[in-house]
Amino acid sequence: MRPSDLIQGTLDVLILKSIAAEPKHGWAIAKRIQTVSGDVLQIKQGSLYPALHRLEQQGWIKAEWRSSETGRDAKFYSLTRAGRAQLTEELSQWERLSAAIRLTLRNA
Amino acid sequence: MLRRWLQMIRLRLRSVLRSARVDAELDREMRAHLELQIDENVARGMGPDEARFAALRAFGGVDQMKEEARDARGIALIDNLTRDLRYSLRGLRRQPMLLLAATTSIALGVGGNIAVQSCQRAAALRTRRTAGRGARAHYSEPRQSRDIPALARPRGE
Repeated sequence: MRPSDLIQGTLDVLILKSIAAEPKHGWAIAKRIQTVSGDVLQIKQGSLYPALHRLEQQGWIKAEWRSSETGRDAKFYSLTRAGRAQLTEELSQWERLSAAIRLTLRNA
Repeated sequence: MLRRWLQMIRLRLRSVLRSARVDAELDREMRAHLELQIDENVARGMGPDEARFAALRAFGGVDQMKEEARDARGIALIDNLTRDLRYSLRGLRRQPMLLLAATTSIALGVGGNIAVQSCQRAAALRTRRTAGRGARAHYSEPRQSRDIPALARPRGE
């Protein structure tokens, strides 16, 4: 797994998780991740939107234009049924991966 | 599963066939993001101009991002191919001797092949016409029915 694959995979699972509870537009996804992570994870537009479009191309999420809380139009993303299954799969993969990395860093 | 496949195909076709509209939509999405960021800045207490400026500054590299998004949609392959083709043609035009050499080699190769095969074909026809019992066509493949010379034919083609 190349380093860029790792980062891309992590961003994917972060995005999928953030819209699991309710649909969100791109800005809200980045904001939510930043808030919940205590300002540690700050995702720039340059990474966020290519990831969102890739996930949409792969069929895990679907998009729809709607008006936001503030009345502005925004493109809301939600999980598809396949996306929900993919999220579960990626969460367990992530658990396994981070445990392995932690173990390696501690003992290597 | 099938629905997901259909969605994937629909989106990819859309990317290729209506790329202008997809780009316009990406543009609209980016602008919406910018507006939301400005709203947030204002809510945090910035004045409208400062809010806009701060949002724009945080926004950098939109063109690069559009390019990345386009890559993610997979039409970059075709764009790259046409661009490479145009570039190499332009390069060849700048070096006429190279172009001449390349064209000549290809022409000799193709032309030579055609010439040799025409001769072979002509020879085969000639042999076939004059073949009687026991006549042999020296260049043909070995005949399978050796024990029935009357029915044997030179296998020319």
